[in-house]
Amino acid sequence: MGIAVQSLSKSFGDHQVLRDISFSINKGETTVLLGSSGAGKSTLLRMLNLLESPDQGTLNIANMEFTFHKGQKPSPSSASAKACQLRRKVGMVFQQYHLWPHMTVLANLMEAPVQQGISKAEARDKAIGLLERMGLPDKANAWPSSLSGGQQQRVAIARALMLSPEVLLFDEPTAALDPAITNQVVEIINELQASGITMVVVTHEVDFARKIASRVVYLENGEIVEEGTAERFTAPQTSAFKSYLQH
Amino acid sequence: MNLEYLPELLKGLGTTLELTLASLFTGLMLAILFTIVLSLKVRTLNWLVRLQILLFTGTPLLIQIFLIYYGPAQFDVIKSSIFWPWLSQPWFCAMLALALNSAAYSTLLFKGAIDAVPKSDWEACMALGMTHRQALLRVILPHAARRALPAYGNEIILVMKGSSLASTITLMDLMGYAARLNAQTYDTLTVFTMAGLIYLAMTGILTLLIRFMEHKALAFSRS
Repeated sequence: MGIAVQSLSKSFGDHQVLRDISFSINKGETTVLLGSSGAGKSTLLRMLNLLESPDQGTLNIANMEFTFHKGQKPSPSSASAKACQLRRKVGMVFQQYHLWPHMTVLANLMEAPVQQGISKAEARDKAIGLLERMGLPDKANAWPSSLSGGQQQRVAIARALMLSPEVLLFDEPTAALDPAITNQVVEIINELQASGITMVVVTHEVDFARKIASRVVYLENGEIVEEGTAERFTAPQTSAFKSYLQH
Repeated sequence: MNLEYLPELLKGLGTTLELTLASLFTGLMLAILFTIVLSLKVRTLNWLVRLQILLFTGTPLLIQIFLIYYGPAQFDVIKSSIFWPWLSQPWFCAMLALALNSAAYSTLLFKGAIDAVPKSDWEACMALGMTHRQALLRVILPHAARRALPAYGNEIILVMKGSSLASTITLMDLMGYAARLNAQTYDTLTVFTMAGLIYLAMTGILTLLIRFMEHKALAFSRS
């Protein structure tokens, strides 16, 4: 099994951003979380690697289970140790790339795996291989700020892949990129899908979603309005999703 | 101008440089330690560091030097302790006062630089499964250190100039020799102008060195 989420809820103060979310994703699928801004899709994605913690609900991901009860906080240290374990299996790619600016591309890629016990030589070989795969073989020693947005995004994807994650999460990976560059990200995601990795992608761009999705989850105001296979793009079942697809 | 004074003044240069280097090094080590304590919010130690900063940034350096040099001699416990051989030396006391003073200011500076590291740096660390400590030591501190370098450069120069106060506790540094020469000759204008020029030259050299280090450390932000 890939990911199963059971009755997740989350509030920020009085504002409930997610209510009673349940869905499951099979291994190797690419699921798009679609919705307009404020629908709660980014918060939901960030819960999948516990960058946000749910108020209540159950999360099953990468063979680990996390249960949250309202008003009851798990002890921070054990919770964070388990969260670290989880995040090594669930990679994340951010909208603004989040590369460390003071480290070269190669150092960005090697830092986490070397900390986690892989030898420097092995990490280096893997990094060079991934940069080649991302079409950036000559950028190993470049500073992130010298790269274009699209290049930085590919470095960020390579960095996430360094830990060989079972699941890869993308938070609006194309929102900061121009349309021509978006297609490079589409190609990379489709190539990764062929390699069998489970992906969850948050976006509000319908065209981008169509090109990559094998499943779609459409959210509005913190609730799932529609979910199903990629066929829902051509045959939406709810009027809300239908009208979202049209604009 | 009477250049005869120059060799006499330069006798104190070695002491000034030693004192500056030793207190900067000690101060830097303490500041890194203090910054880690503050950033990881280590219980109790956290408050001690805050108290140290309050005391050493809130009082004049001259008072700190006097208290560290003249203070311990009032207590027999300290005079009979193993620390006395150190605490009875003016050089060590001046070094300690300068180091603690510099540590307090540098800690504020480093903590500020760490807090100014964008949240996205932390988030990327967390998303890659690093612990809070790993993130701080391996990614955030190195980034903050580079950002703090221009401001720390000023601190280096302040310590070098502050070391002149050590002459008040009998230490014969550059300022100590200048004061003695002045007492012998009453040629105040010439003596202190020359001493001032030597300090100015050192500031100039240090500034160039710091610029060079900044250039290397901040290369990432120029491309």
